[in-house]
Amino acid sequence: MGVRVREVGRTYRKGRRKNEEVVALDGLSLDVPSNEVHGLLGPNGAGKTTLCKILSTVLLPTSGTAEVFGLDVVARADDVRRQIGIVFGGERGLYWKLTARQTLRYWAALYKIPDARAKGRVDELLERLGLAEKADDLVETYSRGMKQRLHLARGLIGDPRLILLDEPTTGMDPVAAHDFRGLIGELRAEGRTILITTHDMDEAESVCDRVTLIDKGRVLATETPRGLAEMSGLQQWVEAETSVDVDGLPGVVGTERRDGVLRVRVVDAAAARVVIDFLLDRGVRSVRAVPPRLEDVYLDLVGRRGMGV
Amino acid sequence: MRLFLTGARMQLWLVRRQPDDLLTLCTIPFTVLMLMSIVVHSGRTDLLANAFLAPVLIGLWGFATGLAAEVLLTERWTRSLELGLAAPTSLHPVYLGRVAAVLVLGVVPLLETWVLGRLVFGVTPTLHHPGVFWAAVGASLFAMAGTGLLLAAFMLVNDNGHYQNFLSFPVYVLSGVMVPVEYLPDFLQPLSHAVFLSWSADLMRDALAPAPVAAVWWRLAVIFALGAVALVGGRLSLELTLRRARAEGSVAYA
Ligand SMILES: Nc1ncnc2c1ncn2[C@@H]1O[C@H](COP(=O)(O)OP(=O)(O)O)[C@@H](O)[C@H]1O
Ligand SMILES: [Mg+2]
Repeated sequence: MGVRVREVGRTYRKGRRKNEEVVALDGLSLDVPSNEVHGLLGPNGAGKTTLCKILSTVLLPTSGTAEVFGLDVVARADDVRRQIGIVFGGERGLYWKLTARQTLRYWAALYKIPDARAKGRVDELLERLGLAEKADDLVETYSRGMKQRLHLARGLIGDPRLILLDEPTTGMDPVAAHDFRGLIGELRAEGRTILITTHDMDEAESVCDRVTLIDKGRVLATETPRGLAEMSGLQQWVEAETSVDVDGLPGVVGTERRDGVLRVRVVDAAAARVVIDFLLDRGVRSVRAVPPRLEDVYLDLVGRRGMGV
Repeated sequence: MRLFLTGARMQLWLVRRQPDDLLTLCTIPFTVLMLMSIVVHSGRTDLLANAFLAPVLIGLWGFATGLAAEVLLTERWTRSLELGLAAPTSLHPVYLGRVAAVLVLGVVPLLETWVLGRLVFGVTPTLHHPGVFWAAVGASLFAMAGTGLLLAAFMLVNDNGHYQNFLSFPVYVLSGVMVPVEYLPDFLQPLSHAVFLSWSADLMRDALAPAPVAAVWWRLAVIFALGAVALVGGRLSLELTLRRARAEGSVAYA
């Protein structure tokens, strides 16, 4: 098992006299098998970052236990640190007056990579993340996307078996986000385990083997993106380019028309089948069933709180 | 040791791009000129060594403590500290290396001051015992790095500049860098022995005087020992601070 979290709770003390308690994690349990890409989804304040910090050993749980590759994150923090790489989104955490190469050399030493090996490893990562050309420019001259790639390179310097990515694509442009998805695929092919938090449902749907929805420090559901959609019992859609009327059919909840496209909302997959057959019988082409998207499921389960960040 | 060197190298990279960090050190020679002119015009050339040493030591001291505190505070608010904590090494040798690197550069104003005294007043304190003097400088730099780490760990908890001022002036008095310790009230004198700067200032003053310097090894050892105590204390309190931050969740928050 890559990550095993059992009943982890975490409270923070807040306020002037530290007398206000905030519950960030409320008995959360989670399993991530080795070599899985696992998404953590949830609104702002759900506790995603808190969980990442606990797994990366920089924060202690208030209760419960968490293990990384069978190593307890509290009792064996040092061993855990050797196994993990962390990437926290945003631009902080980099030294603006260093170059990318210097940054990676610095962190290579902190990850105990012998000097002889560090140079090659740094070159390799600069190349891999497309930073080789600007490797000797100061970080402060980098675009946001380059800084994010440097963050990723930094997170990979220790050759981690588990990579914790906390909103790594916030503010990334679409091209960079696309490259990022490719990188995740490569990292998985190398046998690494990846835990990624994100606000981007499309991203989660495309890179994650399974996702966990969390809210208020609790797990709402863990499933494959598709399984989650099916399990959610959310209605499906049928789309077709036609003007045929389907309103009277069984299982149809509603219809809408836009730009010559008919969208039919149906209660389940069987009802979708009926509508599709009905339309095909009438010679309508380009008919397709559209399962609920992860985003629909998310909105259904979590509501609209904290979206659009 | 490797981590220490990593920190030192990294800080030198940073300083090269950000030389303004060293700017505060450049003010030292002016203070020296001011004090020297008082001493020279009042005919008390016997106090020349004091006028020379006081600003240099005070400047370096303020610089060391300020810098160390800044290194750690910056690490915290840029979230690098958090990233560092997740790395499989301890951080204090790295930070110590970073502080030490700049302290060594801090010797430059000392030389600068020397040159300035010669050019402007045609006087410089004569180095009667250069070996002792430089040994004292070396020991003092070590002690400053250690004390810097201690203060930085302290500042990390009590994140506000008042403490830094609070700590600096009493230390200047106790250290006897300008006012000889013998002028202090009796009850303060033992206290000043706990401040390594008082030993540094004494030893350097003696090294500038023609008379043979007494008990050189013993006094160097005291400076080293006081520095080592601060170093160990700094290391421990840094560790405690970070441990507490880990428990309270305040690593990334001010
Ligand atoms: N250091 C802290 N001190 C006090 N409260 C905190 C701290 N860190 C997080 N919180 C609170 O804990 C809850 C969970 O935060 P977080 O884990 O950052 O959520 P997410 O990453 O899902 O947005 C939020 O209510 C947040 O305000
Ligand atoms: Mg977060």
